[in-house]
Amino acid sequence: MSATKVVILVLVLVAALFVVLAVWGAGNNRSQTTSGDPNKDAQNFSAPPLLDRLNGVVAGFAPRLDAGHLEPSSTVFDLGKQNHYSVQVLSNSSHKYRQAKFKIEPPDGCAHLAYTEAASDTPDSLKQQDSLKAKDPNQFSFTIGAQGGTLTLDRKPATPARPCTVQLE
Amino acid sequence: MLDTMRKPFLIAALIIILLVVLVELGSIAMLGRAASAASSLEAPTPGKAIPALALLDGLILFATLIIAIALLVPERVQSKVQGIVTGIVSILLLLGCITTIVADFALLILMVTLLMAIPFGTIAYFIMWANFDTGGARIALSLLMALKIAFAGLLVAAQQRFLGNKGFVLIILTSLAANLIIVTLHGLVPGFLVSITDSIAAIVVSILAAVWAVVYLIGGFVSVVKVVA
Repeated sequence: MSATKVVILVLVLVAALFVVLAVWGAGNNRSQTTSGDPNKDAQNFSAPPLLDRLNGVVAGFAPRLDAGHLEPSSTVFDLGKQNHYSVQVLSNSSHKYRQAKFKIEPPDGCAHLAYTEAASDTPDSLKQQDSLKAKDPNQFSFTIGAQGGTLTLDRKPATPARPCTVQLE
Repeated sequence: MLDTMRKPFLIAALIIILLVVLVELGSIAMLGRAASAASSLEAPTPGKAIPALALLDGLILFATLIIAIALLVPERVQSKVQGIVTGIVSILLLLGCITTIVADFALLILMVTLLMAIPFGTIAYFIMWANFDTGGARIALSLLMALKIAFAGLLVAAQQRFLGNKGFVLIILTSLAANLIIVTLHGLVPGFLVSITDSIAAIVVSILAAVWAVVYLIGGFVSVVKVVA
């Protein structure tokens, strides 16, 4: 077979493979559609195992909220000593979004956390974030925008008088 | 080789590869518009893989341009200049590749970690990146594939001995493979996750382009050393 014929054969095979992949991909793309309501879509979302593994690899590099961007600067809030904290989250222009992961000890829902974004153009579902909306109210993450905002931590009034701490991980 | 070159085919191939690069760069505007939610929130916009192809196809355009220039400029002059120009172009492209890889990796981390931070991060992801224009991307990739196949055909029509230039053949095959990689990664997942696989595709394509930029850089360096010697 001449070189030209080989080239033509290769190009035809590449084109055919491309068409097959494009048609197969279009079907896959349509296999799960979104409702258009981000709140509803987020509720219905279940992570594929591959994405879970990818998250395990890249999570360590993700931008996180650190104590340096909190006023007062602290990572542990003892609600056994003080029933209410109001913490200012400072802006950080180098990250559009930061994750703030909180853990409540003991895990009996003794604390209630709420975060209000300072930026006015933030979508409503992100402007007011509340620990009560999280799947696990004892371990959850808030998504903090670049402009920061206000974080409030309250001890739930009905909980018995025993230690209750909130830790920023 | 230049004596038996069919010039109209070579010029047509040059125009087509230039069009390929322009379409790839133009896709930034097309796919960026679809991601208006992300841009309005000042978040990075998806649609990175197709523009990343411009890094790889930019090298093919450069190589084709060098061949076409040889038709106009005397070989003695060209051999002196070619090594230096190749070196400069490949260094610039390598820097572009590194910048793209870093930016795309940062975007990938942001998207994955937000999506997995249920519920608020997931909401943020769905607002900003769940509406990737898969149809638009598929149209752009189909157009690019058609143009690249036409380019390869025109090159062979211009001069069969191009097939003996293994480096040139391999980079064209890499470019075709890059198209296949993007369309595969775009099609692997449901539509709302395509922004993530698009970023992965952009990183893969940029790495391929970086490898070729290094190959060209070495080639340019060897060329300069030969001229000096």
